[in-house]
Amino acid sequence: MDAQPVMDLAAAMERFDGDQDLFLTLAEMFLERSPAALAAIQTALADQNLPMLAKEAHKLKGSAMEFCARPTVAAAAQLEESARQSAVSDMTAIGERVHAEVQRLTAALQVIIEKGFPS
Amino acid sequence: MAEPAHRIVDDPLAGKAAKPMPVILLVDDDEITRISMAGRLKRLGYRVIEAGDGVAGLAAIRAQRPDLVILDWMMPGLDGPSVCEAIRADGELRSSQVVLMTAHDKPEQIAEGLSRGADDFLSKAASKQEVLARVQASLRSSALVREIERTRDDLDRSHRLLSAKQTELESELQSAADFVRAQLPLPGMPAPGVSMQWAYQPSLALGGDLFQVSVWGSETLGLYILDASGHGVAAALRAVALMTFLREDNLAKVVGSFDPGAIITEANHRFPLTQDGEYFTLWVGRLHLPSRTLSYAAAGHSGAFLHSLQGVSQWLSSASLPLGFDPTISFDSATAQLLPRDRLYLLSDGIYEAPSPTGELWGRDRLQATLESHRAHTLAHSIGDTMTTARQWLKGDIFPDDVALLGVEVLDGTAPAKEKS
Repeated sequence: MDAQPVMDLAAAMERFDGDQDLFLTLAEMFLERSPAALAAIQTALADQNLPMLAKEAHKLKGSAMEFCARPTVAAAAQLEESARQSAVSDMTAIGERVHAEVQRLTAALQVIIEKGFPS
Repeated sequence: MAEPAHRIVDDPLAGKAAKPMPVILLVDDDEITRISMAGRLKRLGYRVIEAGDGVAGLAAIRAQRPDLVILDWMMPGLDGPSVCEAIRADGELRSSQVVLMTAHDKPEQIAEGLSRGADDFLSKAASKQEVLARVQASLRSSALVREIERTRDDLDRSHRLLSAKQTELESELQSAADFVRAQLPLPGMPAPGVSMQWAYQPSLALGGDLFQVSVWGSETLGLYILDASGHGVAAALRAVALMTFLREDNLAKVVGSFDPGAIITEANHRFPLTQDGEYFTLWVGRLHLPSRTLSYAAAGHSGAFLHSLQGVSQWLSSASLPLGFDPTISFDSATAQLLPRDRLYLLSDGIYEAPSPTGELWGRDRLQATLESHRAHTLAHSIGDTMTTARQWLKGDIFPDDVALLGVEVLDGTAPAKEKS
């Protein structure tokens, strides 16, 4: 999975019709909100609050989709599905994967925010 | 990083000022997704209103009536499908165009969304091209629906206007019909020793068949029946004009006599064929009460039947042209002697030309037989029953032509009383 690029920047830019400002705005919002999202997922996992877990994972999946961040989307989707199907045994591992993917994505977004788009 | 050149085409519809920019309401609780989708839609040239949850979305739909609503499926509180249901349950909002947006793309979810009132589906992962295609398709539907609604509203308005006009016209027509009916004689005894009854049923609100029985001078009873060709308002107006001519005071002034032939000859001058080819037929009779002698003349009208108890029953008609066909001709009076309890019927052709459902006309013979069969009954009874029999033949209540049936009966002892005096 780690071999897969954290996001498809070209596809994301195509999605925003080349609007870099919009991309940057959304990237900053994602950086701002992802710690809280991950914390909420962590709490839901700890409490075994499956509806909350599904909801938070779904939201995260939607946001990651905007950046065409496939590994994050896939991990969040898997977590959401596990929560819906009450597949409790896998959840901790998937939760960790979600955490790792979000970290990778925020790092990549951070680079773009600070250094600009790769030419 | 430089401002991309395509900023210029930021708003593809900006140049088409005549066409208002379609308004899309975007309802999504996730800000990142909402801002992203709003940005994409704005770039496609649409005006975007945003709402952060289902309740705010419903309020925005009511307040702004967007051309298209894009609803996120999963939202806290009122979720997308619930908003759809609320829209479909609201008479005012029902026709809104709604697209449900979801990060899932499962067929069963699509089916559920559609069954709960969504018009289409949009995946959050959709490409720019797909978003554009779906939004455009939905906006086309929305425009069509709005056009249908406008047309329906226009039709409703026109219908209301027409209904109001119709009511007004009907009310005027009813006033006119009441006026025409008021010209007809009151049933009863128009002169001592003479009883009179009638039935009148115009095919429309207004009829062109009119009749009158009134005293002309001291010892004579004038009676006539006229038929203005055509139906409805025009025929009724012309009929009333002829009726005015036939008033006793007018006849005395312009004809100088109550002789039926002289009256019809004068009427023939005064009522020529109209430019539309309309004309009258007319039968005029004058009953000298002391002698029970009837003189009569007709212009194309053959609706007078003398039903005699002791003498000979006969149709009092002669071959003649209707009024106005030839202004040079003169009309002559004929006479008939009435005996006590004889009945004179004046009638419009509408009664004996009543068709059966197969198209066979009732006919004068059947009418005559019906009138004669009521000999033992009162005049009122005879008139009423004859109308009933005609309706039975017609198998209905609405005659295709105006129907008038007037009966006059010379009572026992009238003439002898006068003869003694």
